[in-house]
Amino acid sequence: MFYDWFLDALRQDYELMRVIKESARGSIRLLRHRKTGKKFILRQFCGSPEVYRKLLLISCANLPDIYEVSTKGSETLVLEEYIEGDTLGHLLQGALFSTWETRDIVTQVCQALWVLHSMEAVHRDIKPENIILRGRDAVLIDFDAARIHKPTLETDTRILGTVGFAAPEQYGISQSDPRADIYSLGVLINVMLTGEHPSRCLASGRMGRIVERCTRVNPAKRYKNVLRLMEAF
Amino acid sequence: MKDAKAAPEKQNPCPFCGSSLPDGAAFCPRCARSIRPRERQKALRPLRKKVLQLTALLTAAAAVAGAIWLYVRPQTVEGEGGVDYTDQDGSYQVIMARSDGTYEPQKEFHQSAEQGQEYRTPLCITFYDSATGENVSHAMRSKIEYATVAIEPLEQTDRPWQNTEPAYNNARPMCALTTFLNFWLESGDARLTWTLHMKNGDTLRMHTQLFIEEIPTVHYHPDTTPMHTIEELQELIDRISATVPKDTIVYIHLPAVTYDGGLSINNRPVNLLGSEEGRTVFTGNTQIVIDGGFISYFDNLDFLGDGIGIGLSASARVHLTNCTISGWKTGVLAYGRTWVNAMDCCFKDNQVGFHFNAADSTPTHSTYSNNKFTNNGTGMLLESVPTDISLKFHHSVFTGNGTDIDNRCGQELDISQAIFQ
Repeated sequence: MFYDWFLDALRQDYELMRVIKESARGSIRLLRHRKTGKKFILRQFCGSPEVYRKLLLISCANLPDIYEVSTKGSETLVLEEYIEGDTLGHLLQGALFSTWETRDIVTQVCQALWVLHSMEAVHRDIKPENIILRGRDAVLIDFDAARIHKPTLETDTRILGTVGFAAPEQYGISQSDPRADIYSLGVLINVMLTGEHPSRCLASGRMGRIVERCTRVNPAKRYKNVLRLMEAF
Repeated sequence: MKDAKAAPEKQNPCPFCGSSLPDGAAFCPRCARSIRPRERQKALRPLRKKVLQLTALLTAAAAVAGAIWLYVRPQTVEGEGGVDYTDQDGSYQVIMARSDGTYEPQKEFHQSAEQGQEYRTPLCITFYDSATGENVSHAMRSKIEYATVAIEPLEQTDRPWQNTEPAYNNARPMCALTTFLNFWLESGDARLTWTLHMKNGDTLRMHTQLFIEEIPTVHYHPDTTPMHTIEELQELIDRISATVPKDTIVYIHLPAVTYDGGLSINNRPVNLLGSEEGRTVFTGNTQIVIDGGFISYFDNLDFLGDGIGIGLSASARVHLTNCTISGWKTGVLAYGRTWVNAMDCCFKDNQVGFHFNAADSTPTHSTYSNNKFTNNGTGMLLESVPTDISLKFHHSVFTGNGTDIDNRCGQELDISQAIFQ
């Protein structure tokens, strides 16, 4: 079986550097190729591989390269590019971002989302911990919660996402579509500027108005797509 | 794509290290290289809001500029018989008509003509202030850059309508421009377009339909109709007046005889054509009194008197051609509402050759060419002439008269080509 063969190959030629995250849903491990020393991220989780499979064919500066995807039952195995840098969540523990920095980073996240949304995928877990700053690049990671938007479904089949960042429709009000990610982007912008959820402290001025529009409960009232959000900056 | 059910038996070598890889592998774990090509995603370049705002601003500016341009742009106004026209100074009713006396646009222009005859008629442009009705042709004429008249025949013809270049005409001072249309019956129906190109770039285009209707004619000849005595001729004229419709032109071809006694032509015009085989002579007073109607043409006639009376007294429109008027106290008297014209005629031995004392008439011809005024007490006596158009005596010869021209009414004359001996 390919899954087993691939797992065996990884065990033979790669060494485990550390376990980044482990939970009942799965794990994230940092591996190093013994011959070349190149680092990789190995994801094992129970969930749909469809977004990762689409990303196999894609190269984008704001998304990690996905090298291999394999499944066994409900388990999915993904080998992806290791993005060296700090997560936004880590940086936000000690500082806030200026408007200019926020606009620059969020614009890059929008670039990543535009690629995902163009594939009819919704990330559904936009949050500071899933954005890594690699030099000047902001890279959006972790597509475990991502799913392909199916216009015929009324509600999401599984509730995924991060409380506070997830859009209301991700809790079953309706099926999440790209506008769910726009909601999360609004929260992200507000957190980068104020350190707070917009419900507690809305950013001031123009960025506050952008956040307010991103985080409207009715998806139809939000920016139609990330392009419109980028234009609003 | 691979999953647990995919068979790993089929093997492919890694293009980089040659390791054996299961079919469909995207990555070689041995050399840690991706073996599947990737599509590089181009960065999204959104239009910045400022660009959008600038675009909106430019669009709004363009819209405003467009609206202004629509308001001030050169306009083309078109209509039948006339147009309503507004410029920066006011609004006007522009009328195309035969004269300046009408406010009615002439959408159709009906003319009557008889076979083989050439006609000329004016067509004028008049401006009226829409608010006051005042004739403002003089002021508006200065706003016209140039004008053109085009006539498009509606049927095949060898004698198409022709027109003179539109210009101000002294005889029609209340019109801005006048053109004269020359036509024959054979010219047929046509469509006329008068275009005014204004100095501000506006164009006024007016159309009218030109229609020609044939005038019925009837001819009387001496070999079929009794007319050899003055009585027979008078009876014929009276009969014609009673029986021939007034819209019919009557030609009486006279024999080469001398008619003794007076002749009276009333009620309707007739054309008296003297014989070409000899002379047709009238020795009594010929009187023609008609209110309106066609012009009466008298050709090749001699009016010979004995020193008293009037040879031809006309209170009707008469054209004399190749006639001799001799031996009268007054050779020709034009009086009342009339216009009398003479060409190629001889006035001799009269106390007064031609006495013009008319009013309230429209000139039908202003040229008195190739006449001879010989040995008259007064060749031409101008008591009252119902026009301020210059009378032209081209190639007319004045010889031995007591007074060649007694211009009592101060009529404008063109004697530059007259000969005084």
